[in-house]
Amino acid sequence: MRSGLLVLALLLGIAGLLAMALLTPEIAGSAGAGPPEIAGMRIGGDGAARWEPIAFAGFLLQCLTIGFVGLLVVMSVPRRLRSKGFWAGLLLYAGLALFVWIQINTSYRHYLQSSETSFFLGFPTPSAWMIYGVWSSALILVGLYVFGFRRFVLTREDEARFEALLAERRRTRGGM
Amino acid sequence: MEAWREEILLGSVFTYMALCVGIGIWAVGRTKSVGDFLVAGRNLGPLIVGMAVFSSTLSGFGFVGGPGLVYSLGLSSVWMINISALGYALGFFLVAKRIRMLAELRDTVSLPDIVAARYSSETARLLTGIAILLGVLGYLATQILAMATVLQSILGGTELFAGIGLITCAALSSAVLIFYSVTGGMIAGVYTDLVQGLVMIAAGVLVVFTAATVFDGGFTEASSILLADDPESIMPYGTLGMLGCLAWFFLFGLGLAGQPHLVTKMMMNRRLTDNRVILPLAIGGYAMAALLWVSVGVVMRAAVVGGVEAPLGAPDDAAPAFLNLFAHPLLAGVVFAGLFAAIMSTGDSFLNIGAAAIIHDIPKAIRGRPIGNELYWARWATIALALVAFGVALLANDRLVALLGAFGWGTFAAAIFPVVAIGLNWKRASARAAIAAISVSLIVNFGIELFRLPTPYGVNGGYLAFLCSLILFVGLSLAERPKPLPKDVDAVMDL
Repeated sequence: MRSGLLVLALLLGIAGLLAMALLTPEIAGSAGAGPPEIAGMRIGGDGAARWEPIAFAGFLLQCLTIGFVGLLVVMSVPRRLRSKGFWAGLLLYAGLALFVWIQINTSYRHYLQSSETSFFLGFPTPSAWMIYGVWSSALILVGLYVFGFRRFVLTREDEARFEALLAERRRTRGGM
Repeated sequence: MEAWREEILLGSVFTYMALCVGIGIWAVGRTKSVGDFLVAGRNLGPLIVGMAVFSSTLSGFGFVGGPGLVYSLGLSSVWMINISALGYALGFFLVAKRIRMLAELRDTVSLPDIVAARYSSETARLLTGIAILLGVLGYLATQILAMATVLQSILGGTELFAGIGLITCAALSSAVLIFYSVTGGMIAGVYTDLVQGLVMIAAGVLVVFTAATVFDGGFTEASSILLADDPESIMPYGTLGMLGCLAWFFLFGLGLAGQPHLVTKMMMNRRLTDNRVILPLAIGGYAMAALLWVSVGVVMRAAVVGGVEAPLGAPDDAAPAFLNLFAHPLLAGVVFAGLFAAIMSTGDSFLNIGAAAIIHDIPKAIRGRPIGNELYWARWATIALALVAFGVALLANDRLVALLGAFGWGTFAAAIFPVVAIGLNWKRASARAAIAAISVSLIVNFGIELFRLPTPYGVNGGYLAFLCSLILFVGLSLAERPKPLPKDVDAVMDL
């Protein structure tokens, strides 16, 4: 019940923030515009003008999305297996994901204000955070699954309980 | 070597296709039951399943459309793939264990079987089958068209096949796909997926090294060219803007666990413990193959805006143009084979789950029992489905194909994620909520695409449908009085 209410609250929060952002008066070219000289290629134009009005709502929306992902992971792990190690791993993921998300936006804001950026592995810093940071932050969850498999996903006891369930099912079928 | 480019390209593609046909012939003797045909007998090792999971996720859309999207929109579409590690991890946490357990306990052969078992509802089974069938038709049509386009770009450039038509190319490539899908079913599908996955990984890695050498300063120089031309294109939200990117992030990340061709593969591993090996294999494979998406798109956009190359006829020409302009013939051969691999590995999965919907799920939901001789009819259903999709691909204009393609991912994510990914982890989820969520997701998603309803800030319609179905599913489930689950399902959900 409690997890369901939390999921609903987060989803309503995401929907509310999205509605707030979508209802913000849209400026021309807010989703890109096509220059006539190159067919099929769109341009972004004035980044600050199209980002600033929705930046706060968009920022919070992604924070809630990260929270939603965390809550889904919690729901997938039986309550009795949610040990301190599990919570530590999950909090580490959420913290890192939030940190990367903040870095994307602060470095992007810095670029919009100064028109200066450094490069990291071939991309401007804000984009490098987006490409490398977002992807690699999820590796914490992958690690939690792979290395915590026997503690959080399928313990040996649970595996034995499943085998017993399977055996019972086969017996029942055989007797029918 | 350059003088042999035509021969090398043709040789690579025909070798690849011959390999697929060979696997189909090999697998026919191993396909003895409908379980073998639809879920490969639930007896596959982790390497096979890992490669199949990733290669069936990255379709022709990824290998052909992905670089085209970067060419067209800058870095916006990278939000579809930087979420891949999270999407896979979430999919394994939410779905992999319980779907495999239920599959063995209830001897299921399809995703709608799982839905029917979880909710004790034939209506939920029927709607899931219909959602799969609708999404599959759209996706399959785009895969066939993508195969035909790639084959035409290869054959059309040779003296022998100059002027070959799109229909002939669609027929040739579809014939190979249909052959191995019909003869070997899912067994052929997963083993070709292994070959296809390895080809895709090789293509992705080799291309990124080639792309890095197009400009003297590597990717930094390409990025600098784009930064000087239109800074937004190489900034994190690309030309589409923040909200459009976040919508893609949500839809493609979370929605990954709702893709039936992917989660069906989670029923096929031999042992439950294999999942801890399958997950990193799938993520690693996807990451290496997806390098092509970003690197080719960025380099082609920089080459065009920097005046190095002429503008492309269409964004989807980005990958073929890159191969023709910058790649060594041997590399081009491997990558063109990789393009087919990406398309076919997804195509065979769609044929498989679509055939299951036609001969197993929908009849079972309506008649209360499966049709007789399912294996025989599964083969005919595969042929029929491929022919219908072939017709749709050829008859449809660009808008319809795009409509059906977009409908595919959004339909699966919005209709299936709540019902399967949340439903397998939350006992309170109800059958009525599942039925309502699937129905509303189809109506909203199809309505937005069909009527071209405008969404502000480039937000994808599938994202809106996904949010609607999630809220409806959870809200309705909470509003209902909880009902007891079947004993075995209840026990699995406690594990």
